[in-house]
Amino acid sequence: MSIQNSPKVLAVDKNAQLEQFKNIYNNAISKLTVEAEAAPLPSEQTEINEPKAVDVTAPLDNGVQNIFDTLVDQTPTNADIIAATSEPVNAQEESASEPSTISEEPVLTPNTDVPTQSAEIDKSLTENNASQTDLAVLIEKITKEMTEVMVHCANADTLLEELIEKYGLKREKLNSNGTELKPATPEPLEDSANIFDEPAGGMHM
Amino acid sequence: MGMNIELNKANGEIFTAELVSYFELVNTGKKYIFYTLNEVVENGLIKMYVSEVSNDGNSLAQQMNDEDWANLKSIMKSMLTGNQNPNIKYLKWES
Repeated sequence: MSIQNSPKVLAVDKNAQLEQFKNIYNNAISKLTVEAEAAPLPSEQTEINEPKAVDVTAPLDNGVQNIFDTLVDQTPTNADIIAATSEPVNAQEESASEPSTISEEPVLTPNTDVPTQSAEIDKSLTENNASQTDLAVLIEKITKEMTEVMVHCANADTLLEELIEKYGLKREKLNSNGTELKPATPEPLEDSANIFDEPAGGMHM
Repeated sequence: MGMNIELNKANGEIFTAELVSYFELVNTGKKYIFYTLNEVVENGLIKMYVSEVSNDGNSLAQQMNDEDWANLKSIMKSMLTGNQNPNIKYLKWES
């Protein structure tokens, strides 16, 4: 075995051979780059298989972070979101006077709460609309009955007038307390003495 | 047009060349580089240089034994024929 000087020099065809060597190498490097970006580190492989055990507060490499982002997007549970913001559950329970702290942060509110709140608002509006409808119906009913009462009163008044005219009655005003009616005062009869008064001419026999 | 790289000769001389390929033979662990200076020779052919790279990747080896050279020629032929050689591990050149 002999040792020869290096580097070795070859005369190659530019298009058929040189470019082919380049293309093969560039393709291989491109694949390596893509695989390196997509593949996670072997030490964190178990974490990927067990997403629940991922420590969201620890720094993650790009590969695992991408997977975790996917997991977060796919499983937006309240526990994951609360853990992601490093806010312990105990603090939420202790601050009972401020229950709205978490719910007011739009970042923590799961997307599922928005349709729930909208449903509740719609339900309230529907109930209000129903109540308004019931009120309207009731008002209409009352108005109708009042009209009927007024008609009856008018009829009663007319009937009373007829009775008064027929029997020569007179309307009397009520006294101040409105509870006692004054008895009708009859018209005074003619003085009986006047009946036997002789006419001025006297009687003729 | 390939990537231009800076290479170190064994004597310390630094020069710029166009990278053609850079890989490692898995069975021997040796690294080799193909590069060109775009020197045109007769019949429109271009010179391509083949050299072993030191383990630290900083310089080109001054010598190559016949066995390694024969092996490299066989590998180059397999590359041109499109055969996938599992013994070849392509490496990204880092200056």
